[in-house]
Amino acid sequence: MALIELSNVEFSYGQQPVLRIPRFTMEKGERLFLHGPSGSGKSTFLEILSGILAPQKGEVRVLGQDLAAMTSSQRDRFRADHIGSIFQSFNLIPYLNVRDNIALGPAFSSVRRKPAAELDKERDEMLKALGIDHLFDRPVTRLSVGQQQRVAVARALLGGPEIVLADEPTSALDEDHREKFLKLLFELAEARGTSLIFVSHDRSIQRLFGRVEALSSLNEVKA
Amino acid sequence: MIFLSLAWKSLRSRSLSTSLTVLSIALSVALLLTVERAQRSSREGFMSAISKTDLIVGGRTGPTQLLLFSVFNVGNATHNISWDSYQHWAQHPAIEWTIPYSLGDSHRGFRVVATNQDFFTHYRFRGDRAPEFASGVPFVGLWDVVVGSEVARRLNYKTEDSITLSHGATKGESFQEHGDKPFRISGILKPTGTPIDQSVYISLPAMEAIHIDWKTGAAPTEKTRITPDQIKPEDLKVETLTAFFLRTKSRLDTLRLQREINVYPEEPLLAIVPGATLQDLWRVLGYAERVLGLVSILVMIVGFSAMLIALVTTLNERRREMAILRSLGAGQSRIAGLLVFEAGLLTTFGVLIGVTVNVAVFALLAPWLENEFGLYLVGATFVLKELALIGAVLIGGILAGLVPALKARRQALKDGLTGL
Repeated sequence: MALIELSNVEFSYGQQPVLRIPRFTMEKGERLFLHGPSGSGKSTFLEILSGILAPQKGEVRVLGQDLAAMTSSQRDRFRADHIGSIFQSFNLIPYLNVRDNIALGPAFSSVRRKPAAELDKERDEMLKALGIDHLFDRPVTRLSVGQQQRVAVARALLGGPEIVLADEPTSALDEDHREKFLKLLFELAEARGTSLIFVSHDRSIQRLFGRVEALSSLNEVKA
Repeated sequence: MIFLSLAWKSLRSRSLSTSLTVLSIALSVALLLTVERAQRSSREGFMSAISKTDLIVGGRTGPTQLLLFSVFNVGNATHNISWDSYQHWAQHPAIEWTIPYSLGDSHRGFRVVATNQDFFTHYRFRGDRAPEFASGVPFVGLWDVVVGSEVARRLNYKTEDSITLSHGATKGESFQEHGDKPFRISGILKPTGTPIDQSVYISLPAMEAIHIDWKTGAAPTEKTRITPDQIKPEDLKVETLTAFFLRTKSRLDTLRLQREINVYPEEPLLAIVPGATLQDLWRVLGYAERVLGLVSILVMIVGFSAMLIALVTTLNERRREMAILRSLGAGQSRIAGLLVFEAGLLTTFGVLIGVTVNVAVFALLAPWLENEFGLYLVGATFVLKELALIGAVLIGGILAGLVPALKARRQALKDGLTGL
C-alpha cells in the first residue's frame, strides 16, 4: 500500500482551477522534494494532503484512507494523528515558550499523545540533537529564525507522525544553516520512519533528497 | 487542559488589553449589582418601616402625606385630631391597641415624637421587631426623653445627658428653643434601620409641658414664662394628637373600621392602610430606581462592547496563530471554541472581581450610606435575582465571544495553512 495516493484530484478556488492531478503516489520512507514557482499551487497541494482543503473531485488516499470522503472534523483528527507541518516562518505561537510550543505537536491527537514521561524523553533527545536544549524555557519571541525553525521541527516530529509536510522552511536561513538544518530534519525523520514532502522553489538543495518532482509535471493546470 | 492553558497564556500575553477588558466588565458588574442591592435595600427598608399596624389615623389630609409625616418624619400635618376623637376610637371594641403620636417639635434636626408607653409595647417594624433599648429605660418622669440610635450616635449622647428641644420641626430654620425646659435622656434605642433611629421620644404630657406657656402660639415672654417647677401635673391636659396607629383584633375588621373612621361625623379623619399606601408611594419613587436599573444594564452592554472590541481587534494579529493551530489538527470549531473560551474567561474574571468590588464597597460604605442616606443594608448579600443577573452576565459574555469566534472560524477556513 502506498503511503499517499492521489487519483484524478481536481481543486479550484471558485471558477479558478488550481490543481488537476491525475495521479501521484509516494511510498513510506520517501523524501520528496517538490518544486515549482510561487503561485503554482504548491501550498494548495500541501493543504489538500493535510486535509485542510478538500478537493472537489478525486481521491486523496493517505495511509489507505480517503481524505476526500471524510468530514472536515475527521480530517482535522487525521491531521493531528498523522501529519506534522513546518512553515516558511512564524511557525510558533508567540505567547508560548519553547517547551509549550513543542508540546502542542501531539496535543490535538490521541495517537501521538503518548504517556507524558515518554514524550518528555523524546522531546529532550530531539532538542539535544537539534542543539537547542538550552533554550527550553525561553519565550519564542527571543529566538533567532534558525532556532525557531528547529523548534518547529521538534514540534512537527514529536510523537512520530507518519508524514511531515514542509513548506519552504529553509528560505529564511542562509546557505550554511540550510544544509545543516536539512540534515537534522532527515536524521530525526528517519529515526521515526517519518516520510517527508518538502516544497520549495529553491532547487539548490534538491540534491539532498531521494526523489525530486516538479509540481508542473504532476499538475495539468498550467499557471 | 490544553484549552485552558492556551487561552490563559494568550490572554496573559496581551495583559494590558486583558486587564482593561476585565476591568470594564468588573466595573459594569459591580455597578449592576450595587444598583440592585441599593434598590433592594431601600425598598425593603422602606416597606418594612412599619408593620403590625393595620391603620394609621390622622386629621384629614392626603394618604401619602399622612404616611410620610407619621412614619417617615417627612412633612407636617395640616390638621390635628382631638383627644376626644382619639379616646372614642381607642375604646372601639374592634381595636386591640393604639399608639398616639403628637408631632411638631425637633431636636437638632431630629423629630420629636410625643407618645406613651404603648409605643414601646406595640410598635413593630420589619415583621415582628419591636424597639429595644441599647441602654436605659423608657421615659418615666415628665422630663425624660428616649432617643433613637442615630440621634445618640450623631450627637454623641449617653443616658443621663441633658438636652433641650426646639419649637418647630423643619430642618435648617432658626429655632426657638425650649431652653428653659431641659430633658434628661432616660434611654437610647438600638439601631432599627427605620426612621425610629432618627427620632426623639417624649411623653404626651411632656409635649404639653413644654408648650404650657405658649398658649397664644408665640414664645413666652419673661412675664408669661412658666418654669418647670411651677408646672403641676394636673395642668397638663392633652387636648390634641397628630396621628395614631391602631391594630384591630381581627384583620377582617380593618376595612370596615377604615370606612367608619373616614366617615366619622364628629371630626374629619383619615385612616390609611400603611401597606397599601407604602405600595402606592413606592410605585412613584420606583421610577427613579427603574431608570437606574436600565442605566446599569446599558453600562453592562458597554462593558461587553469593550470586550468585543478587544477580542475582534486582536483577531487580525492572531491569524497566524490560528493557522498554526489548524495545522496541528485543531478544527475550525475548536478555534472558535478557543475564542469563546477566552471571552468566557474574561467575563468570569470580570464577574469575580465585580462581585468582590460590590461586596467590598458595601462593607466599606455601609456606615456612610446609613449616615448620609439612611440606607440600611437589610436582607441577604445576594438574592436569587442577583444570582440570575450574574448568570445572565456570564451567558452574555459567552454570547459576545461568539462574534469573534465566528469571524475567526471564517478566517481560518479562508487562510488555510498559509495564513497571512
